[in-house]
Amino acid sequence: MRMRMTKQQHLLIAVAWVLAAAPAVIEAQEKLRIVTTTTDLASIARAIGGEKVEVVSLATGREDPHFIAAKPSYMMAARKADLWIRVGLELEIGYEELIIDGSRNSKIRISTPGHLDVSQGVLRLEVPTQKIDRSMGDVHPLGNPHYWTDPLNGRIMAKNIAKRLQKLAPEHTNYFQQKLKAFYRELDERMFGPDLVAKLGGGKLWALLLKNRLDKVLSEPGQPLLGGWLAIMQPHAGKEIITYHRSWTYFAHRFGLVVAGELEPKPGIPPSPGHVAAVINTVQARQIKVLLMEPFYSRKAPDLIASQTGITIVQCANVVNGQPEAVDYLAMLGNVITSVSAVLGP
Amino acid sequence: MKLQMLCLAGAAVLVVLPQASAEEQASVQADLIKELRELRTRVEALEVQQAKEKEEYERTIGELRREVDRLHREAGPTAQPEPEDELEALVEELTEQGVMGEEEPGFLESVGRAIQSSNPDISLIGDFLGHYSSNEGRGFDDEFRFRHLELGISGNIDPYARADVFIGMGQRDDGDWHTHVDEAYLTFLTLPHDLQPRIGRFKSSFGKANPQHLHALPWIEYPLIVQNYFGDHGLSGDGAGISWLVPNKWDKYIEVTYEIINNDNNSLFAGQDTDDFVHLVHLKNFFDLSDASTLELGASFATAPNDEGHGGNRSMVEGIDITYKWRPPEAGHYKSFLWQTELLAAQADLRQGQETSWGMYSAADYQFAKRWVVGLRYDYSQMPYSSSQHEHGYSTYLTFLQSHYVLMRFGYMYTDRNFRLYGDKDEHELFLQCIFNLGPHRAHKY
Repeated sequence: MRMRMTKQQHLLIAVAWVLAAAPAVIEAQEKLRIVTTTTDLASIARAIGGEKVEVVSLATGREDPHFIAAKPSYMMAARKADLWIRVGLELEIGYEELIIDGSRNSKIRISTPGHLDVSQGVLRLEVPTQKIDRSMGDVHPLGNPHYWTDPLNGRIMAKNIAKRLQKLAPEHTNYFQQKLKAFYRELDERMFGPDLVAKLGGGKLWALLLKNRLDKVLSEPGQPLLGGWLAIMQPHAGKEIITYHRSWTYFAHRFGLVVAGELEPKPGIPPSPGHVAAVINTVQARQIKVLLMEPFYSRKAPDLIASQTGITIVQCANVVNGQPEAVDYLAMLGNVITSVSAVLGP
Repeated sequence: MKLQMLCLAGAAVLVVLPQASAEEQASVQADLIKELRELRTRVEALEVQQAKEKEEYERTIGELRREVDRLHREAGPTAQPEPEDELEALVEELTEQGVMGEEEPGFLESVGRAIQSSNPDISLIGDFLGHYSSNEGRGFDDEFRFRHLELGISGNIDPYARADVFIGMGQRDDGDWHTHVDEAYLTFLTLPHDLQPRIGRFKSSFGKANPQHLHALPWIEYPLIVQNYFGDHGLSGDGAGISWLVPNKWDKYIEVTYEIINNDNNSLFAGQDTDDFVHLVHLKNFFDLSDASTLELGASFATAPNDEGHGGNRSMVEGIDITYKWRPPEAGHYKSFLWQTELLAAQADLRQGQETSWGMYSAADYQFAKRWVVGLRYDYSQMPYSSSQHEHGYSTYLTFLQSHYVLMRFGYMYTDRNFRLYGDKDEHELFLQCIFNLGPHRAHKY
């Protein structure tokens, strides 16, 4: 028997489709559309915005975030955005203006509510006070822009994002605050270990750490043991590392490592033979074990140094999606901790 | 005597008064009791009212307290502000310690920064060229020359528009310097419906190579079609234009541009003496093929009178441009590839009939190391008013990028003409170019 649908059946199916699709359409319209320049910003924005937002990152995570070309397709991504989020400190100076201008989107122009610079209030290092010029290489006048490699700054970035989302969608304030709290909790637990966070609270722990009083409090009887990244890195405090670019300053600062030298003689200037020789001398003289570098730099000079000195090259992404392990912001930081501590040894 | 009388009268009153009150005592008492009763009822009524009001106040206070508690709960972490606030203050303090160098910023330094932040971007681009030709007779031959010294000033003017001004200085064939406003235009950035107009003097949006500044090209000179059809500096002029991002269901970049400029170009059109306009339409399509590669397809059309007859004799020119770019994300510092091709056809009404001509170029650029790029270009071009005359060009380039701000380029070009231009039909040329960029210059278009 042939199945034949009556007109009414057709109509019913059509109505069902419309009903099924309608909530999806409404929901899609309600979501805040966010465009971020880097994958780290996208990861944090997703953590805070949850299902209320739709996030697109211009960078894939595999390229150098300093050099993103102003592709017209990025303008299309920015065209309908409600919020543009940037790292700031002039990291995006080479392309941001072209993309925003090209997107013709007035909502995300600089100094509008739709434009967020998450560097507001972050801990900044290497802020120049003297007149800088290009003979110094790519020195940023507002400070080193790789601040997201310090989890403390990750917290501040998340807070900045939450504040702005509340401003743009005040009806979801509770939701964003809960998400922010959950993000704090997860970050703090990874940083200090869950026991300590449960006992003392994340904010308190960070304040103690910044005031150099964490050790003292932990030595009091009855306190839980330090866990997390700090516990992993504690034995390595004061150890020296070599980096390729001046992009690990914040990470080293937070976990007590010392950057003894960089392969680039000046930020952004490729390694010269003379400089490589000087780095080899430093590595040999000070028995440095780790050469930390991003995957998008050439292995040529690092391999040469490794063959002469036995230093271990740790190729590690400091942006989300720069490596398969770096699936989100916290996983990215965790991956760096694991990789570096494994080589620094027991 | 008088005093005695007064005393007596006073005593009499004193004796009589109690007698009088005793008579009225009963009625006074009754009045007092009545008054007391009234007072009691009023006090009782007040007590009841007060109890009622108290109850009401308590209820209101309870409600308010609950509301405050709720607000506190909603505010989340700010309900226990201490650790987070303390943390914020600590971070601020630490940032101040984290500055580079030992000295505090001086007064002039801070003033300098303040001035800098409100300044437009000001840059200077030098384009210095050494040129050798196998043929004699060119104005610029066997010598070094500052071909172009470009002063660029750009920035946002107000919340609605930005200005870009490029003033070019260069050496003429006689060695004298001349100044020329290359571009000076306003772009209006906040129009609705994805529209973006601009007004002023600008390089027109014909094709891919023509809108670019000489120093931004991957070669030393414009391709032959641009030189032959639009002149050494390309098609540009005073006018207005508007571009529109076409909404489409694939969310692809499709841009349509219309421009109207003075008919100043005398290579293909009539030139300065007429008061008619050049009309131009450009269509740009852009596709991301992958994270590494992109494709741009463009089509252009321009028309204007080529005589003083105000449209009696017209020239029309059509162009197609294809640009493929490849830059793998992981190795973006070290490897990239560009393939760019343009075709152009022109029809010019002349007294003796219509003259049709065409030309093209195809170029490839390969970056094989962080600082090195090698390039090739093939050109073919007929002459716009004489299609029987044509030239083939074969050129190759090697570019050394010292940094983002300085490059050195070596070029060789062999031109094979079927007519004599400078002495011999064949020409060999050698170039040495140095481009440097001082100060913040707006990033070039992709």
